[in-house]
Amino acid sequence: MDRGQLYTMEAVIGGLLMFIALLFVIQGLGVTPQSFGDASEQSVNEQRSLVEGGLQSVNDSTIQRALLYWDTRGETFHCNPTGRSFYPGYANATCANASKSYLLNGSKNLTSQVPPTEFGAALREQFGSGYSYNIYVTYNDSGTLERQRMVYQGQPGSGAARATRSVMLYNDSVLLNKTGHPRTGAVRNMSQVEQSDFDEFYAPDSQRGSDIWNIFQVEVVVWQG
Amino acid sequence: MAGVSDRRGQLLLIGGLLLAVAIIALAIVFNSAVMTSSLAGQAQQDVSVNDVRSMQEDVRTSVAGLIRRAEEAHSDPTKQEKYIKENISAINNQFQRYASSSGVIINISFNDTFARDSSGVQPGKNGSRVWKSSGNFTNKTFVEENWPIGQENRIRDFRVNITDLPQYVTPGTGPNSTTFTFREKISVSSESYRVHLYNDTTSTTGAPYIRVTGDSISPRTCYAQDRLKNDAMNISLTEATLDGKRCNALDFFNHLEKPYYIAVRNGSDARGSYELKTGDEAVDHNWHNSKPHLYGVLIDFEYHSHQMDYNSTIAIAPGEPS
Repeated sequence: MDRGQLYTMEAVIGGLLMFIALLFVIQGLGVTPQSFGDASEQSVNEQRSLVEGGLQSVNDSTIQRALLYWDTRGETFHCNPTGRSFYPGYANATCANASKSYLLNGSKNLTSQVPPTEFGAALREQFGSGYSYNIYVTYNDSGTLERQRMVYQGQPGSGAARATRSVMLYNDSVLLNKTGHPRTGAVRNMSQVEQSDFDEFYAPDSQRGSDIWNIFQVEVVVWQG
Repeated sequence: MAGVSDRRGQLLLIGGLLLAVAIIALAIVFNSAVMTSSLAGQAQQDVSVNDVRSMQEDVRTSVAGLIRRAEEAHSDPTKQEKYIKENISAINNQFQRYASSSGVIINISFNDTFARDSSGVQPGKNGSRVWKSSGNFTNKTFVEENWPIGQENRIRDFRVNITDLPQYVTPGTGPNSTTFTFREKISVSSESYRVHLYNDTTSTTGAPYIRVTGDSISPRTCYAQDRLKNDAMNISLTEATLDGKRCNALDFFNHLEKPYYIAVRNGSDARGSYELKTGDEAVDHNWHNSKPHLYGVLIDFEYHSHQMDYNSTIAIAPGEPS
């Protein structure tokens, strides 16, 4: 082989080697979601475990009461700041003046919780103060799925994790009034609210002919911050 | 001579370079393969298995709610079963709508055969409700004939509501507090767990306490926060809750090998009520109120998506120890 050909071959292979080495280095740099400021997989998994565990540990009845804490005249959850149909991260301070009954869990005042019910207290206990969360309620409406915000604290941050839980309400499930007591009077449960011209509940009877009013999917999205 | 050496040196250099190229290329190929398989594995787990598990759990809790509702509406087990059958199609319709929004077909139906479930356990369609609604708790010791609850190996919804509790500093020494005891039936080295219920007279909170002692665990305690001394307390022994809140001290059922006895000691010191459901249809009536009651149901669950098909039979009996 001539020396010229050897030099050429050496140059080509040298170039190839440099190209592959560069490729290898680029792969080795490890471009991951964290390179763009996203949460690590471990952190996402931790948050996922947190939200799944947190939601699973709450009693059905606690979630049901949060769903039933609805003002059928104002068409919003009770104790919401004016003009909102969901809690933007806080509840109306005047609720603190409400009768101290169901809004008190033992000696703890729940009006600082979001939502201001035992459900809010349970989530806060699970997540601590370092986390924000949104709560969405999905229900069946004439064959389509509709979504009602219960808590909306903003766009979820990076690494947000979500968990869902299904809860049923029945035709005779009794709504709660502002103080957290079961409503009394002629219009207190789902069927009666439906019959009333002045009251409205966000989810309709999706299963006529049965005792089941609707099955709700409660979705909690949690992120750090 | 020099020319020959140069040429050989260059050949060696080219050979070395080729070898380096081959090694790096192999490394890249393997790296990509590992990365791809890792990502594929994650995606597979996230999308399919978790979705099925989550859906199945939702169905389980919904049907459990339906069973509880049937219990409230009817006391007769035949009517309870009929109520569940009538409403199971409504649950099926609802879940089908949720599932179809994510391209999944599911089917939930009542399994009338009451064959053994996937774990090989007969869920026991019919059992008994056992209760004592007021007054002092009655003492019973470990005599098999006295309280054969748990023989069928399944109990659920064991709830205790105590209105008056004895005052003790520390149970287990001196006079014992009111105690529910669970003891394995096996005669040699059988384990037992004791649930002591008492007011701690030295406690600053004065809260009613639960203290669980056992042969293979160190004593564990939880108390009714935010309650005053002598306030009634609601305990679910099988669901490990105190006033609706988790009480980890009661997590002992998984240490117990079935079957086991249940006994009450110093029952006369406490007042209140208790209730449980057992898979046994025949219960001793001498000192309990008992009545036939639906114990659990079997539900057929089908899940079909483009990624996986899954069928199972789920035994559902709300309030069983987890």
